[in-house]
Amino acid sequence: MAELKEESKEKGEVIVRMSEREWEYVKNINVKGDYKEGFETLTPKEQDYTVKHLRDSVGIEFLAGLIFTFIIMVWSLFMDAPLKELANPADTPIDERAPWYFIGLQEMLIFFDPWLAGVIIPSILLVGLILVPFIDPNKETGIGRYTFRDRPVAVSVFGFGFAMWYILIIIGQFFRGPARMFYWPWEDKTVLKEMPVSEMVNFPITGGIAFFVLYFGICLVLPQIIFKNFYKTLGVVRYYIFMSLFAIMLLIPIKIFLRYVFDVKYILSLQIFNTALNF
Amino acid sequence: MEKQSKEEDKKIDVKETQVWKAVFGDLLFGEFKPLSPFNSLMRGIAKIMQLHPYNMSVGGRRIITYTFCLGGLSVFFFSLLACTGAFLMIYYNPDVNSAYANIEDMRYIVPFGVLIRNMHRWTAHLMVMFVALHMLRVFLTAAYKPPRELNWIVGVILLVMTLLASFTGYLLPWDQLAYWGVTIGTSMGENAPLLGAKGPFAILAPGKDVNSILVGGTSVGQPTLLRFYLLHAIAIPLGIAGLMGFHFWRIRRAGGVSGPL
Ligand code: HEM
Repeated sequence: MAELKEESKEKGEVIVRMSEREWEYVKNINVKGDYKEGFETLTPKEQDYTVKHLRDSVGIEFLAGLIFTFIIMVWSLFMDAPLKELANPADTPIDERAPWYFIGLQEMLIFFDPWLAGVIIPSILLVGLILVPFIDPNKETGIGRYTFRDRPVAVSVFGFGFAMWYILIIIGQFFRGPARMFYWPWEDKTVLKEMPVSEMVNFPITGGIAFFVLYFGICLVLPQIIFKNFYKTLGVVRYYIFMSLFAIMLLIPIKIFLRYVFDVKYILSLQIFNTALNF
Repeated sequence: MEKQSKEEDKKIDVKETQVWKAVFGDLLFGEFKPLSPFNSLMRGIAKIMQLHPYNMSVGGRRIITYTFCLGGLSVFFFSLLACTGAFLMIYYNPDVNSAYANIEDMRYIVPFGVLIRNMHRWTAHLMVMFVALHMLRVFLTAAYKPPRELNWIVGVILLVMTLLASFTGYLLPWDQLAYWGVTIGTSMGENAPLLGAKGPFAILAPGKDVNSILVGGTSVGQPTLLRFYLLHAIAIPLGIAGLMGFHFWRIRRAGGVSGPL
């Protein structure tokens, strides 16, 4: 299979490794030389020459399918899918857990009220994902190749979000025991830990409001002043959408930190009409 | 005259926005260029299949490395799930009185039942993982940039549907794991602002909120099992299959997987 070795920026040339068959085909159009085992430099024009893709790829895919079927079958022979006792609505298990791909959400239930953890945060996440192509101001760079240097902001922000999601899943799946208490891997998960005695505290209301005003103020205004170029390339609308989403995402680790270090239950706890809005 | 041209300018403006182009762009007005006028019969067949180009440029092909197969593997897992799922359907009855027993039969009586059930379960895990990894690769190779924005959005919907398919399937064995896992999951709906009975500013009574539409009552029970079964075995797979077709067609329209254009 043709495979990228190296790219020279100036001339748009690429060096690829090709199979002999592919080389034969390119050679037919472009009589240039003998097939050299290994690498070949292609100019942009030559990159447009075609190889018989359908013929080669279907075979490879078939093989990949066979290999994966085999792996899954062996896995299934040796490991049984879980099945516990019959469902019993009267018996809530002490270690009640969601399936692993939703355990990140369940993990957030520890730090946020359910309407935030289960509804608002996932919705913002989805909206953010859908907006990705429209927020990214750069429409050309990096298409079709892995690059950090050319898109540092995009890659770091997305990488941060993706990593956080999976870290939450790993903690929820492997580091939580009965009653969603934190267990190190070497601790016995069948022993119920004692609930921590320390009382959790709330920020006073003014403090909470001040915290959010300051936080969003800093997140939205500071980068605008410090990274003027960044602000310019994004434009006003994109900038505010991006920074708000980013600020909201950062609030998750911030809240976790506040909870663990200062036993903060809610940063802001409002009572509006009959409803408690806790953040 | 002048007025008219001004109005036209405005109209064109809308069509020049990235959102418009992403959604309607070459979907409606674009032209489709086959890569080379080669063997017209074979190209016709390949076009009908729409999945692979018959020919591919060397420059484009060189980027197809392992991580570019994550999407294809998701397709493969989906088909494997459809096959094993169809087999499971033969022995499964979405009734709280028999569902659990059906699964036990599958494990101990039905020939190869345990193997098929295990395969169905593990493949489902693999599919969720690989779809997420596929999204990561699409992001890291900037494949969501024009002209592929719409395909990214379709992808996000596919991701959500994949998760929902897994989640609805989770309830079907009707064991403690399933029951309480799903109870946690659906209790989120109860807490939705406005529309959930326990959420902030609730305007709907318990039993009449969004959660009860999903669950079919105030707690997980027979109506939930039937709903989840229909979603899991019919609605979501059909939706995923349809969207997948659209996903692939969009890839071909965009000129194949993203290469440096
Ligand atoms: C059921 C789930 C999905 C299936 C079966 C699927 C399948 C595929 C396949 C087979 C490809 C061809 C290239 C490749 O394999 O990498 C592809 C490309 C693509 N997918 Fe998906 N996909 C799924 C979910 C997603 C998700 C979650 C996203 C992003 C949010 C996404 C966005 C894209 C985009 C933008 C492309 C074009 C990539 C390019 O041109 O390089 N897809 N998909």
